[in-house]
Amino acid sequence: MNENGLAIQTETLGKTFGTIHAIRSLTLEVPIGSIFGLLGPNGAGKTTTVRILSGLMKQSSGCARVCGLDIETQRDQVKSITGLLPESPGIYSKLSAVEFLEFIGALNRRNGDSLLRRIDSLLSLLGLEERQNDLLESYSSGMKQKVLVASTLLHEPELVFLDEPTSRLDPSASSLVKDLILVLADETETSFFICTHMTSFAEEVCDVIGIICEGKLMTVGSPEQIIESVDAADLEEAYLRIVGGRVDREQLLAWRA
Amino acid sequence: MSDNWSHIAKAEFLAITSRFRHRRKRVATVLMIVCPLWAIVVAPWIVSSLLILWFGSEYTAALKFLFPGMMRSLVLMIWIILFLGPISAALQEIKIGQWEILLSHNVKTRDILVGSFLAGIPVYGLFVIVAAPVVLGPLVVAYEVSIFGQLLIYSVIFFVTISAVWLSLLLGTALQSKLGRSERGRDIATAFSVITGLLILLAIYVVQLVPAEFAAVMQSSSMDWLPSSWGADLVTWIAVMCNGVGLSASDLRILGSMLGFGPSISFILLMATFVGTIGLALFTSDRLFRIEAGARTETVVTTGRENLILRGLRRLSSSSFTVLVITSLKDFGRKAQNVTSLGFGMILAIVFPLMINYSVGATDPDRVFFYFIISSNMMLSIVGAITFGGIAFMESKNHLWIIKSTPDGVFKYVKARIAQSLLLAIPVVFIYTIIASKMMAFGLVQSIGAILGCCMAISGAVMISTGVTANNPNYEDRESKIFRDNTGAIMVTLMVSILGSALGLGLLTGFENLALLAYGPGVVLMIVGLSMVYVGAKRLALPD
Ligand SMILES: Nc1ncnc2c1ncn2[C@@H]1O[C@H](COP(=O)(O)OP(=O)(O)O)[C@@H](O)[C@H]1O
Ligand SMILES: [Mg+2]
Repeated sequence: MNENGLAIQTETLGKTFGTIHAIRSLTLEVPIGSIFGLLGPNGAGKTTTVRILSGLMKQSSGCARVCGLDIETQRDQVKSITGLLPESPGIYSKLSAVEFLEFIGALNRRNGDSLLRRIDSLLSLLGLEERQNDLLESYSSGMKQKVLVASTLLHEPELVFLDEPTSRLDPSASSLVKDLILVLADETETSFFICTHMTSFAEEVCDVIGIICEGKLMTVGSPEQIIESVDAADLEEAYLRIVGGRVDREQLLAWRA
Repeated sequence: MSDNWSHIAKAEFLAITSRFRHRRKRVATVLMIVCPLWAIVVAPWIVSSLLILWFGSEYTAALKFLFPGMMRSLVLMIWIILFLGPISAALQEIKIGQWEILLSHNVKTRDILVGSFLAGIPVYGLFVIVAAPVVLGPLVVAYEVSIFGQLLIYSVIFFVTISAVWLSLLLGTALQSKLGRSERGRDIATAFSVITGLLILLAIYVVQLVPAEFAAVMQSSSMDWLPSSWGADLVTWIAVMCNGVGLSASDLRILGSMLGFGPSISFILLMATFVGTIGLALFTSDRLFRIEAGARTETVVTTGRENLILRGLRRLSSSSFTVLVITSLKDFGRKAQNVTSLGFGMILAIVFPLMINYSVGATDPDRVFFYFIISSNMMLSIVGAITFGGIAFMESKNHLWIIKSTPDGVFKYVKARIAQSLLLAIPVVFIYTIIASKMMAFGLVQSIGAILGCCMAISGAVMISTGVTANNPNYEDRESKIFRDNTGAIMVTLMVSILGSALGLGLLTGFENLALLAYGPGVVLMIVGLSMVYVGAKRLALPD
């Protein structure tokens, strides 16, 4: 179905909000089956990139294809083969986890027993089976995040966008999500596009990392390549060198004067 | 007591007046010139012209003995609006989340209370200066009350106002602190706020509908003990004592017998209530109730087996659309405010046909039917739009992102919402039309016609309100500006569609074809609704 084997292909993609350049001239290729990590500080343009690629937002310039489909002209097809975990969990508070997932399934044209079976197994995998019939209003934000992770996988998408998937999860839950991503990528052809500001997460999960800062893609490569390229000890150091996040001690306390 | 309250008062005041943030000084100066002019010159002049228009130049004699009862109803109204209004608003959206930051700075509940009260005083003062001269105008004009007397009267009203506000704030805060702790409590609070809102409307309605009867009831001696009566009597006393028309001794005797207590006792009672409520507030806050960041939920609600109707729907069809409608029904039905509005709509549907005489004196059955359909269209479309429109369309922007990230998701969602609304609305319409048809002794054909006409109206109204909300989605509550804008737009669209189409069709056909005039507005509502839903959903589905 996809001639060139690319899950994502963008060409000089740009997005402006008034005078703010959220992303600038982003050119990127992500092969099918890979786990791509978009790493960058707050406000770098990660969420904007994901929204454009998943068809929720129009780019201001450039073009992009997702699984061979043009994101502007084939928006609905793009949506049916991708899953999106949005940045912060906002879900129906008056539905139970099962009911919410049934709703998402129905929006993706799935229903019936096979859907319910899949919901059950996903929820028990994520450790929510005991609470699965409780209204979501009583869930912690981490639990909601898990439900949303389940909702992105429900319709077996070919490409999953995860925007800060583990920022609200405790260590064991985030390692569960990590393993889930790794297994899914291994066993199926599912590709992942993950935004994160956590270098350790990116290092452990992603095969390819792009570092973005102020809307510009600074570098792309495997974690090892990136570390090597700036001659750093680990990815965190490399990241800080690239985005320029090192601030010396004196400056850190200057505000107290 | 620390001075936290003054910081809170300042912040609240800045927030209240943020609309004029660059022009606060100028606005204040203008107000200081305009308001006294309004109160002492303009408003009395307008009122006296109107009085002459209605009662002729002998209006003093005509009105003289009506005032005591009238004042009591008026002050009671002020009380109800100012007392229940803020409670209703406060319960609509419990602000504990916003208070969390204050609480983290060790602020006492008492500080929050006093701070928000003081911040509101200028606003309420303004309200009194603008509204009181109009409302009390007839009294002031008829008795030719001196300037000094007017000042006294407006001070009393201001005093009544702020004591109502204070009590309202106290009760509202106490309720919020108790109910805000759990999700269930918040549901109750919202439902309660809808009920108080309706109570206010009902009270206003009664006063407008039967003012004379209401004033008579207010004059009975059992009402002497109502705190609002003390304020009202005091106002009447001041007007009588500072009058410029020269009341006779017998006039004074009659008036005195109509008023409950003498001026000084009324004054003392009023004062005592005010001081008492302040004492009560300062004593009980932080003791009996305290604003605190509560647990997220007290009780975890677990969903059980689906009810008969939902299971029936599933049996009928197992398509994904049915699933969406079922989810939508569950979501709607679990929100207390929706259930309250739906229940209220149901009560109206039963009570209205029993109370209202639709025929307006007409005897020709076609004309009676036409009047019935037009007034029903208006009533049902408003109830339908309020119950099913706007509120809780989506909970957050993220909610919208999730729906948008599915293929054609927005359209499916909007369709399911409309289907859900109609599933709930149509039975109400049936109950309404069946009762009304019985009351109006409609034949079979007219009854079916009535059902048809009313179903079209409510479907149109549901679609119009859904369309307007989809076009400009509201993620917050009934307090938000978007919600108010949407509600305004919906009401205007409904009224213009109904009255405009009836008038337009009438003009085109010379008001001869009554069947056309009866069904026309329903059809127009449907067409307007369909197009508004289409446009609204289309715009909602557009990528940002
Ligand atoms: N809807 C919007 N309107 C205006 N500016 C926006 C909007 N969304 C994002 N931005 C701006 O675009 C930039 C990138 O934001 P975002 O993509 O959310 O960053 P990240 O997800 O990497 O933290 C920020 O400067 C942000 O303020
Ligand atoms: Mg982001």
